[in-house]
Amino acid sequence: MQPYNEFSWIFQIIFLVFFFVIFFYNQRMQLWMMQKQVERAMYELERMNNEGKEILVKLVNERGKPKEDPRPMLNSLLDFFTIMPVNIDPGGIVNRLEHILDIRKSRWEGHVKQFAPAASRDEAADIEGTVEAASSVNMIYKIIRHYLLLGKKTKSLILIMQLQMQLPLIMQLAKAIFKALKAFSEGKPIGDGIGPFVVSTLIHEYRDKSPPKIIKEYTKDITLTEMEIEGRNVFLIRATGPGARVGKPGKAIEKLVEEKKGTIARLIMIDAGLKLEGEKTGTIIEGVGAVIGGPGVEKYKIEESAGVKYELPMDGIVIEEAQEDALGAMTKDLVNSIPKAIKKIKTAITTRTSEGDNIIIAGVGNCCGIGE
Amino acid sequence: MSEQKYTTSARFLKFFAYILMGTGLIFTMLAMSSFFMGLSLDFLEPIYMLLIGLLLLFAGVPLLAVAQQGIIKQEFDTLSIIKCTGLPDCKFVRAKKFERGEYIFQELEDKCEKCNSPLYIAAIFEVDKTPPKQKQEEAKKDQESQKKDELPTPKIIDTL
Repeated sequence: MQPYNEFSWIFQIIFLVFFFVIFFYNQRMQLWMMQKQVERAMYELERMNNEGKEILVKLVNERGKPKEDPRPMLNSLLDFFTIMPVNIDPGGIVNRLEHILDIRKSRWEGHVKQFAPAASRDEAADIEGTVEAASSVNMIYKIIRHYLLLGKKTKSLILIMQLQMQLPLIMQLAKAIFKALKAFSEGKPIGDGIGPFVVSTLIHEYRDKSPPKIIKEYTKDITLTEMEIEGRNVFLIRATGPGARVGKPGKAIEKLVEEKKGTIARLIMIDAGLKLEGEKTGTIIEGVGAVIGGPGVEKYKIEESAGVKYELPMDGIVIEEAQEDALGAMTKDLVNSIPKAIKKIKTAITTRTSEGDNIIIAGVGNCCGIGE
Repeated sequence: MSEQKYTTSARFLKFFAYILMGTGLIFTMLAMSSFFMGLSLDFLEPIYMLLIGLLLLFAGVPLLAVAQQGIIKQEFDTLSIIKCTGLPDCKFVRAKKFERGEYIFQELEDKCEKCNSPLYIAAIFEVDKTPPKQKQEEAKKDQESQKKDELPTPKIIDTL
């Protein structure tokens, strides 16, 4: 038997207290710990949101020379919403979506012109990109705050737990968008712009051998360059730089294919793609199909016009990068991948097309800080 | 997302905090065992052992918090790489800090020091300002992985 000890009763009390606390308040303690983690993340998001707004106001004041304080208008623009088309009847949804996105784009352009009247066309595009990034950070912050407060109010473990479990990915996305905000505000090229960068490098490589014929604003915000590469007649499509524009490459490809009445032999698209963990940034992979992201409008147009209508073969070259690389400033690894991407394009041209063929090469991505 | 890197002192502090907490946990468990399972401990009264254990456990927490302050924040520099339009004959290349308003393929007013041809910005990218020691370790790792892949990535920037 255990010998008597004068402190035994202390241990008995400690054990009983510990037992009852764990028995009745286990979930509450768990909830409290998770809540604290979410709160810390929310404060970090709040800091990013406030800093983002300050960067935006500074940019607008410096470049746009507004006549009045831009803050009220910027604040209302950060809460701007877009209602997606109804999908109960999916017929024609792409056209409806395109219409809504067009309206949204023109409204944003109008707003930027209003609060930054002195900004040049490229500067206005950079401001637009910054506003869009600031709006995304604002939205993430508000959603996290909403669920945290709702979880606190209802003491719902499931709400807080879901939020806490998704936090690492949410924070990763928020930090990447914040990096984009900084890059747009300074006019730096971002990782997503690697597609247009490759196309422009290709143009520069061949421009002495074949003087390029450049058509600015072939479609809205898209530049078309026609030149001879390896004996083929090549049409190079990319967004107009160096402002933060993406343009509508799908529309440009559709227009070009229609104009050439199906005489295009091949479509080669280059874009940045998200890498899987463990893969190296700047790795180049090849495939087939319309290599373009976004809500799907542009991809649909390419598949429908080039693919189905004219049975055009579509090659895709993807330069792999992480989300933070794609949205953040261009890195050295990505710049290093350009010669390899150009080599792949040349191989595609020389092995899969014949001399004299018409080819389209499209570089897809945001052209912030990338001239032509 | 990149893994967090700590300064050497912070790493040592973190390790020390874990040692303290581990020892505290062992002391606490031993003290509890002596009461509930009859384990005899001759060298120290269990109550003091419990107090020491709890003290060590709680001492580790603020130390861990202090160690968190030693996380190395990555800092970046954005460089503009300037080349001569007289390529490939002229190999002139210069790197400078990026300034707002600069963009890739921008033709500059300056002329090449070697051949007097116009200059242009060939690339703009970010480089991190991690301490040289860490950079060397990362470069070593990179070299090892390249050897494994047997497909070394051409470092065009290094030859600029």
